[in-house]
Amino acid sequence: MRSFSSAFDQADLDAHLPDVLDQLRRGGAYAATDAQVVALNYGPSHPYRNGPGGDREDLTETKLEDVRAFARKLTPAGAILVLAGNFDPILARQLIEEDFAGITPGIVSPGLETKPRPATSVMRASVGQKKTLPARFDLIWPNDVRPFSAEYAAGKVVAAVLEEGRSSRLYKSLVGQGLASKVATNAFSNALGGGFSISLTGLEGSQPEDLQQALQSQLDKLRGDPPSQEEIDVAVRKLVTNRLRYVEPLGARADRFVLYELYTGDAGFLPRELALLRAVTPAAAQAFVRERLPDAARIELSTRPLQ
Amino acid sequence: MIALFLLSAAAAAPSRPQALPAPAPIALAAATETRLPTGLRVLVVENHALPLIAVELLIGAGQNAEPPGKAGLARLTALLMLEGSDDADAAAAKTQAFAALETTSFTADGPRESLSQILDWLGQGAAKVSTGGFERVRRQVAAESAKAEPNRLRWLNALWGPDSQWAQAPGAELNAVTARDVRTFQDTWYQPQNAVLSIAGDVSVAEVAEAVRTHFGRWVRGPRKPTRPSRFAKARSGTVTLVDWPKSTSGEIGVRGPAPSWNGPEMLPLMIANLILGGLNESRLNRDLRDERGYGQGIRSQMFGARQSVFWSSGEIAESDNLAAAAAALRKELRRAAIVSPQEVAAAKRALLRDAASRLQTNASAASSMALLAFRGQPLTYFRTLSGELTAVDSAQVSRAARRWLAPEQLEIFVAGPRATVEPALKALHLEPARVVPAD
Repeated sequence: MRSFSSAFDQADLDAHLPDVLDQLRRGGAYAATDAQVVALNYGPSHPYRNGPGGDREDLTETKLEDVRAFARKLTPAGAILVLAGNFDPILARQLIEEDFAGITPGIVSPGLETKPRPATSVMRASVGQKKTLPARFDLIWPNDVRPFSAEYAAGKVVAAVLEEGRSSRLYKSLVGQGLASKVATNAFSNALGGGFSISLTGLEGSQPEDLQQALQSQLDKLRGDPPSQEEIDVAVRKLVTNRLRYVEPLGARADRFVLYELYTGDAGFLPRELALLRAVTPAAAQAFVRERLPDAARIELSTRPLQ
Repeated sequence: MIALFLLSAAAAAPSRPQALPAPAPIALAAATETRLPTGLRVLVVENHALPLIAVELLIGAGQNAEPPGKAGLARLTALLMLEGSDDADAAAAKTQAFAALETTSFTADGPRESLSQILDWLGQGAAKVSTGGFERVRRQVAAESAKAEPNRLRWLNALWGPDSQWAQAPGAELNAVTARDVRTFQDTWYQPQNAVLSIAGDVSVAEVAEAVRTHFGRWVRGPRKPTRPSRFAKARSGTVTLVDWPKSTSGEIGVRGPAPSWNGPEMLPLMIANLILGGLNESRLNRDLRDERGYGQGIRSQMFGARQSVFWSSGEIAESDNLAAAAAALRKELRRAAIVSPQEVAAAKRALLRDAASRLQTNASAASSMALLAFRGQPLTYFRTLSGELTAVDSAQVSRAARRWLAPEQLEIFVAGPRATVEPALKALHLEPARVVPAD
């Protein structure tokens, strides 16, 4: 960190850029659709629009000075170091203070203010894909839900009620009834905004319109028949258990604690996150659905086989 | 232990890096085993750090037990058993089913209170799979299979042999599978004496014993223990196989060959030799092919297999023009695999211990690792005694194991890329393909 911005040169950039570009080439069967979900959620000028992999054209044009300028932002003043494992904390602190001493603290780069704009109307888009793949239909609601807030917890619980496990609404009614092969929901919150998405993958011969219709009927039911206490209990149990499972390995535990520190200023936020999830009521879940998942303001993305 | 340091760039002068102190001895977990009268082996690893449990039921048959023309049967059977997990799934965090090459496994993770529901699902499902959702599940499997990339499937099938049915894309053969096939498959292979039930987490041996007696009573043993050999194709030792990927600008290289018994004296020295060769991020293969030559993102090697052990290695080569040179470099590294330094052996031993500890970091991986040990016939104290076993292995043993098992003459080399350009380049480097797998 002391001299990172000058620790590489043009030869390093030339050596590593092809690897970075190569990683962009990789992706799952629905890579183009997944990229579109991110791009549509954040919009064309948002820094998250390309996902963490970046944009091929931008990367190709990257100059050494661009990378060095970015590296200069990686200062101790803006860094968090978490150690997880079996060690002597007093000795560890001493070693860290020795190793990091003498590094100029630098400044914390000013945060960006960009937020994704929630949709104000229905926007439709489509993606073509190889014809052997089943069709897919995605619904996306960009939002500015604050990470680790009560509303964040409500969104996580709604996503779990809809899709987490075999007893979830969408799994039971769509996959369990043979109308789709897979359903996935995602409630995501980041510093510069987040969103809520539902993805439905069809079966051989499915059309996106069929999937949309099946999904819409379930969303209509959700509005008329809000999640019961029992549904909330199952969802919260899964979420809480998954949070605990996630921090079993040391590496993931350190990752999670960095995240807590970054967003809440409290690396030990885990019990508070669990409390937030346990506090979600059917009414809070219903309020999230009503306010954050409106029919009249969302992005509809159809993925259909190319002819 | 977690510590958070919000760093200030204050004061003290930097000190020089210190040599790593000798690691303190660690006592890794071992499993406690009981065996039911039906032959079912039950393993328990107690871990009371968090109020969680993980359960795995491992069946000793997978894709290797599918009759010819019925690719996908093992997976379909497993998913049909998963259909009966609704109550367990609601109580747990996740229930899953996997059909692998030699095994089928059912897993569940949940709060400790979910143990009874999970075991109820596994006990009932193992005794009788309902085929009620057969047609729907078959369509789901077909939809999932459509995602497979044809070039990659041909590569895997070449690497593992046409009978291995590695591919998760059974295609037309899936349509030939009937509900009756599922029942026959289950009756034949899902037998308690062909299974291991492994539980890790916040439970005691006594409460598991009682719960297992309650929920696995209906799973009776069949008339005879199913014993079907694995069907990894025998490697064509000392030859090169080219898999044609026409028009591809990238490619893949790999090797495969036999390995000693999991429980035999040569395995540990060979595992050390493999870590030196290609089992780690900083191993020789990566240093040579990835770092020095810049051929791709990396190439790894490992010992693989649930019952039958094999050595294999595989890695993507970013530009197909480099494939032949990469294969030659791979062959060169294999040739010198038996030349090892004491420092390399010591580093590999440390890596093996780190890997062992990481396999026991979560309840799910502990349950899975113990089930695999049992299935392979390895002692359930393997992780606990590993440190001592490693101490007894010297460089000469590692060198002997590498000479015997990693020499190019023992192995089949595989290259996947556009035949038109790769085949002449291979010939020029004296790597003429003995076999070419054509494009469809």
